[in-house]
Amino acid sequence: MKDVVFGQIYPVNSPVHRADARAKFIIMILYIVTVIFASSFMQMAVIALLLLTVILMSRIPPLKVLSALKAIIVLAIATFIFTVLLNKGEGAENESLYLEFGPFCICGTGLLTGAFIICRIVLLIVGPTMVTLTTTPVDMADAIEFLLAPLKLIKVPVHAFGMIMSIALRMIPTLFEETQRVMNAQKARGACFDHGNVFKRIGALVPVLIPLFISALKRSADLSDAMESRCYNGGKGKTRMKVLKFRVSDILSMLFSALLLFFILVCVYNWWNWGWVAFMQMGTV
Amino acid sequence: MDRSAEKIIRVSNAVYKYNRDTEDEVTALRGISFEIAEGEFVALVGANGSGKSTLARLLNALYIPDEGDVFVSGINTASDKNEDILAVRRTVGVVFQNPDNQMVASIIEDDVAFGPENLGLPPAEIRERVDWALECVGMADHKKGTPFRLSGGQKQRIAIAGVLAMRPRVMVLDESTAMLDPRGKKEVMDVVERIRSEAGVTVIMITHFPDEAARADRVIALSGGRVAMDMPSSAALSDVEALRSIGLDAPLPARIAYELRKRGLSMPEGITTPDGLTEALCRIKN
Repeated sequence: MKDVVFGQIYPVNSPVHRADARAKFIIMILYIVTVIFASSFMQMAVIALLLLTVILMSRIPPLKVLSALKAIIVLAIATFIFTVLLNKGEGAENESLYLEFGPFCICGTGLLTGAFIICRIVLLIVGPTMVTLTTTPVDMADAIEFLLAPLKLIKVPVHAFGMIMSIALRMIPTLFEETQRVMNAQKARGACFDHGNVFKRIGALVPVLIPLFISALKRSADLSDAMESRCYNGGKGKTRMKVLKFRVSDILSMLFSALLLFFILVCVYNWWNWGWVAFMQMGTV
Repeated sequence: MDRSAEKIIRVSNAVYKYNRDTEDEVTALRGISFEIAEGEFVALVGANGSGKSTLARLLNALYIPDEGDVFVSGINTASDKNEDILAVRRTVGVVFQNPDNQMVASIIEDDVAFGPENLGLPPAEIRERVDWALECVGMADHKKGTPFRLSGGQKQRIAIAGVLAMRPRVMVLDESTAMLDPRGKKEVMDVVERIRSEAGVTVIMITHFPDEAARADRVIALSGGRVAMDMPSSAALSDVEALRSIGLDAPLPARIAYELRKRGLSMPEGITTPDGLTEALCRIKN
């Protein structure tokens, strides 16, 4: 329960929490594009520094934010290992370090690329985590509904998307608790989750998933009854208690994010051959 | 029909079947009739499978009876007009059993606002109702928090606030205390009684705890999908034999009075609470 970070708001009062959810979404999209374009460690450092500023402004303990990375640690390590092993660099002659075994090799370029990809994954996870940590699911659903509004023209059920996401986020801690309960119940009857090899352990989870699935269906039936009985009508004629409002600070933040994207693009492509760009290209991979 | 003369709830000869016209057809309600007037506090009791929860869903137009009718302030819940169904649901609010399964949002005030938002009220009024409802259930301090770390009783009070914010005239509590510990039960029952006295809401409480039913003015007991008893709560709950025959236990004080009477002690009728029993016993001593 305490470890679940994904998708859960950390309710404190801060400028980041108060910012308009739509602005946060747009900034997040600009941020993701920026991170993907960034091509050197120097550029990553600039982005990371700005992200750190946002984390500090949000008054969320930085460790809490970083714990979001636990979920992807396996993915990050696997990506790192494959990148290192499969990257041939510039061939054995040009690399200071070169170990080859079978189809795999370890070389300087490979290690550098691997480290770079880990940085990219970390930045890609931490940024969006900041959005979910500072935005209530209801605001998020509204933001999605607003941003996808053009799709209404081609009859896409935009309101439903927002609602689905908001309920999914709301259910994560509940289902997590339920998983613990089912596992405990099965441990009490002699099931083992921490013995044997990986395959045995995964196999032991199947009897956990089935009751979990059934109970999730039961919960959703209950929830739909509760929503209907509270006059939910597919969002027709629905009003909002908290109306989203763009403020000057939201607009400035969005402009700043767009500027950051532009800055990184200049650093990568150096269209005008500016001298200082070389500094920003330090550690290019 | 003149609506002012109409009882707020009128169920006439309602029949409800699950999986109708299939092999697994189960008849949950076999012809139920009763009326409830505005301001009453009714306890609906019955053993498991007696049809209590089905009835709760009939009162809110979640289910439509297969035969017979349910009228909520004069509107037939079988109406196919959307406005009628919404009017029924605005009049009758239901608090369900599991508080976790009726929360829509992860911030308490957002969850309470869900109902009024669906009614299409202006933002200022929604805010006012949400604050009022949370104040009523004594959870105003938690309004910006998340419900996940709260106790069962607190969660259920938030669910009650969510229904209360829609300003219903009738509140149905569908075994809303069944999953709570004694303290949580007491919290919820105190809130229900406060709502009843302060907001004048008609309360229909579905329960299989006879002690809770003793707080109500009137008891309707269901058995096998039929109404087995419909009388003032003191009369219904002190009838130990009748309750036993439909699979329910009378409250402990009523059972003690019953056993004492069987052993030849003269005990007055209608004892359902510890206070009533104490008084009767003291009178014997004198």
